[in-house]
Amino acid sequence: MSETTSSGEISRRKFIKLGTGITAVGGMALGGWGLTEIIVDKSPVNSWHKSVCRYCGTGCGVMVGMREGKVTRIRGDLEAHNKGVICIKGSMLAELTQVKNRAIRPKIRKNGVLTDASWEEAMSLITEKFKSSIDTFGPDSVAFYGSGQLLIEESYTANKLFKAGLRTNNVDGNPRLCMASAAVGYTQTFGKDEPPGSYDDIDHAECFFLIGSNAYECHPPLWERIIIRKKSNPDVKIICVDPRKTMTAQRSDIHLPVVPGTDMLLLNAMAYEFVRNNWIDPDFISEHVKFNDGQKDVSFEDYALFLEDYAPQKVAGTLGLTARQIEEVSYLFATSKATLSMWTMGINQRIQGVFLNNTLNSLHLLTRQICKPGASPLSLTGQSNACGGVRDTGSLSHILPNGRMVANETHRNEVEELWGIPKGTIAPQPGLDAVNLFRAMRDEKVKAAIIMCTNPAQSMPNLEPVRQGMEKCFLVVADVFEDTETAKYADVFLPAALWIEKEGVYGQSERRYQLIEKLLDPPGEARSDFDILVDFANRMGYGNLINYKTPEAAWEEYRKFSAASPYNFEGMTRARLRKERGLQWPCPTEDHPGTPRRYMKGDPYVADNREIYFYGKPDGRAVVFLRPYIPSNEQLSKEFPVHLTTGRVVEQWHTGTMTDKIPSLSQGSGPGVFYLNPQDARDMNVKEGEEIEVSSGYGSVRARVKISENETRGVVFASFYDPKFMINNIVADNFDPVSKEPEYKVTAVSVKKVVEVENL
Amino acid sequence: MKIDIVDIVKILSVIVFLINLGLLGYILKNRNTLDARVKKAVFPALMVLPVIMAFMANYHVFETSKTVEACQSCHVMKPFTNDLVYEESMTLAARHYKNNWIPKDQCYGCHKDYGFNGNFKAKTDGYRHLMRYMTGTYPEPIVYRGEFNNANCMGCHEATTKFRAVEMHTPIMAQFEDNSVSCLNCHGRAHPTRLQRTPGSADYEQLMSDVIIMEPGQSGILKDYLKSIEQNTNVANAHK
Repeated sequence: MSETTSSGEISRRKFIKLGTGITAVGGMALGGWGLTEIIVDKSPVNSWHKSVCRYCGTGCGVMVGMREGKVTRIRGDLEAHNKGVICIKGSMLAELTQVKNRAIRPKIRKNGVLTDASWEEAMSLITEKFKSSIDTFGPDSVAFYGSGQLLIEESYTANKLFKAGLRTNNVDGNPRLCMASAAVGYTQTFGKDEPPGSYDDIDHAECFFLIGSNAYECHPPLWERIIIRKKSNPDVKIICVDPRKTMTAQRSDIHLPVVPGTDMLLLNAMAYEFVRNNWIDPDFISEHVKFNDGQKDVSFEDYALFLEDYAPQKVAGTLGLTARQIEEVSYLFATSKATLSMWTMGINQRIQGVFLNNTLNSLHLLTRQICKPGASPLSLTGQSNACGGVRDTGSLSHILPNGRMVANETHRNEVEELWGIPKGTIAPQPGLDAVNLFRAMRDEKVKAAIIMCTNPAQSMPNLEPVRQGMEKCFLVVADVFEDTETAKYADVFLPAALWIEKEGVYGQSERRYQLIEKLLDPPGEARSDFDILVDFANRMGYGNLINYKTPEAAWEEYRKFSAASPYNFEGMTRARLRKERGLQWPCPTEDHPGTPRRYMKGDPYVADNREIYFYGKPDGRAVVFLRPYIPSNEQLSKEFPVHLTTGRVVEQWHTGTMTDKIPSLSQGSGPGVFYLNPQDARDMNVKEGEEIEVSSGYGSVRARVKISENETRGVVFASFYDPKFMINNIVADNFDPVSKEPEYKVTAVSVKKVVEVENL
Repeated sequence: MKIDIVDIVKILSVIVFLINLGLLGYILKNRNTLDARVKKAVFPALMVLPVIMAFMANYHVFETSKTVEACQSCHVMKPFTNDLVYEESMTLAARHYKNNWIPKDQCYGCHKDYGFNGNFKAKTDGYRHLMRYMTGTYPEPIVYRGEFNNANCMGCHEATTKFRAVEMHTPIMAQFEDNSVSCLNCHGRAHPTRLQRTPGSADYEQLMSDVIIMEPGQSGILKDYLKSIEQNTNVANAHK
């Protein structure tokens, strides 16, 4: 039977056949497609939310993956400044949200035991104690000890409440232990705190000068960025100055293992080399720089004369280096296309912390390694919100918001006007800094204090007097866990919300403010530190002063407040922060993109007709200070022949209250140990894993020892994350006379092997 | 010139095709007689050889789809392949490519789940991509669904001393295995970001431009010659 008609047209039968065929094939293709659309995507994540890492000052953007109300995945935020790179601690943030044994109920100490209480009972007791203390002993008998991990809105509120409401400047916190020297250093040199440059400079630098920074372990994403830069440009040189052959030093091109406490000699020797070889930029200096000996302005010739004492040949011996090493590093620093200095606690936690910071800034000013991409003195912060939360909001005992000083009457008056309080409300005397605050508790001058989001009973140096102080004082401790060392001294314990259980802004090392949005509810009755502070303010009768109820409203107030200074971030509305991956101040208007590099074109405070202007100083000139080397109090002696230095390890964050509860991190670091150089170990007849006792003028600590060729002879190293290994019992509490930051990095100690009695 | 198995299969399938064509011609020519000899040819001509050909064609398609050129042939992939060759790009993919850490088939080098030996999920995914691409029902920037498998990294890195030297890797091996922690967490951005790949972004034009992929180590005499001409022309233009 024919299927075509005589005229060649398709017959009805064939049409149906063809149609059925096409429909069948098409249907199968589309059906298959539909099926693949349904079956392929079985993701552990239902929704992704941008956030910021809880831990360090790198302030990495993270993406939080959630499913059924739980955090199931953490990934680096590809669109954030860290370009998707986070570290192992950040990678474990999902575990952090699921850690068991969170504090869920307020507690009051009764007969020596923390006992469950209601919020009403706890807050009433706190209010009563604070009121009676202020009435009887005056406002300076109370204090607030905060943290570089509180949100900006929280620190701002605490600072305002205590300084403008309770009228005491006793507002300090753990940033005193980590950033104070950098903050004073920048302020003295440039007139304004916070780094001029940003992380973006890493992508442009040709010479990295890392001093007192173990970035590989302490700021891993920044180290990764340095290495990526080096891999993409083999000419890049990395110089690492550190007494120990840290992970960072091992991976650097040049490692200068200086004797602990002497690096001021190195920086001045480098300046000497710059001047001697004429590697300085005379035009830049004559236009933008002045010299000062700490009392008065001096000439460049005076500066050159001052440097004579620091010729490499003269100082190399004390530094434990050779003159040639110093000359080589000076050459690389001064003549590279762009040099980026980076430092952290090795520089800040020193009795010469401010001087060292000044001089690092000076090295950049002398050689004009500043105000161009890749060239900058970049101090790295230790904590997630030490910069934005504490330095910028002025939540330390000697400062006021946005770079103003307590001791400066004009500054006080400005703040009083902005806060709408009568002139003279803010006390003219700076309050107590961290070390002196705990000493004042011991001396019973401070009677009641709130400690929020930090663990000073483990983190302060020379812990014995700190503990005595905390014992005597009426102590309110707000934290997420009840098993911290500090909570042992709490008279009232308040359970706090953690990370994404509350909303607020973090500001990291490079002046970038980033919003953390609330994604989870806090467990039990836990509340955000913000809510606790607002409640406390109301109970103390300062509801008019702290008249906002939400973090967003607090942000609005502070945002407008900021417009009165070059810390201006008025353009960072909440809506913008929700949308954008953080913004760098100055950011004066809502259409301003933020400022990656300050004091140069692009900074809204530099006039269009200028290339560079240091507007923080009245005469527009940054200051090169003549800073002499002053040896540490902790000199080696017959009794204490070895240096003890402390630091972080990559797996643990600060005192380990969070990271040590995450199994893979705590396995990674293991318990706290001492690290010794093999030669020292041999001299002391100590073998790997044996117990040693390390003693300083402050006490003794015992722990097992690890022997590593990466340790330097004459230096014993320990980290402070393990509460069973309280290394800070023996760390000296000498501090910088200006920044009041303690010198954790240099303590003279003796080491001896612990001999078991049965072995005798 | 190096000949690999894919080329051999290609040649073989042509030979088989020609043989099959010959057999079919032979059968058609003798279709009226259909003697024993012709009958013997029917089974291989209609069954055996077509199946072998289908198998070889499949193999060839799957294997050639591993090349960078194959990936680049879909224009949505251009930002990824272009990024590989940009001098200033610091993405993980570009660093692997430019440093010749993966000698050939660089896309496949890190996305090892497709190809002839690939798993069912990759096949269904490939089919989905094909349908989306052909029907134009995909939004730009394209989004990676599911999770990148750490096994792709571990295949090369796990046994290296460099990998083992990082003590932190040890306690999280289980998390690497179930992908709850990604290698990319610490080692960074693999490709241009979604924002960069969004039409209208500052980088979009460049990422979508026609860059000729040159296999590293394969820039032969002709390519060098072409490059020198190009440079000379540029110099001449600059002098005008």
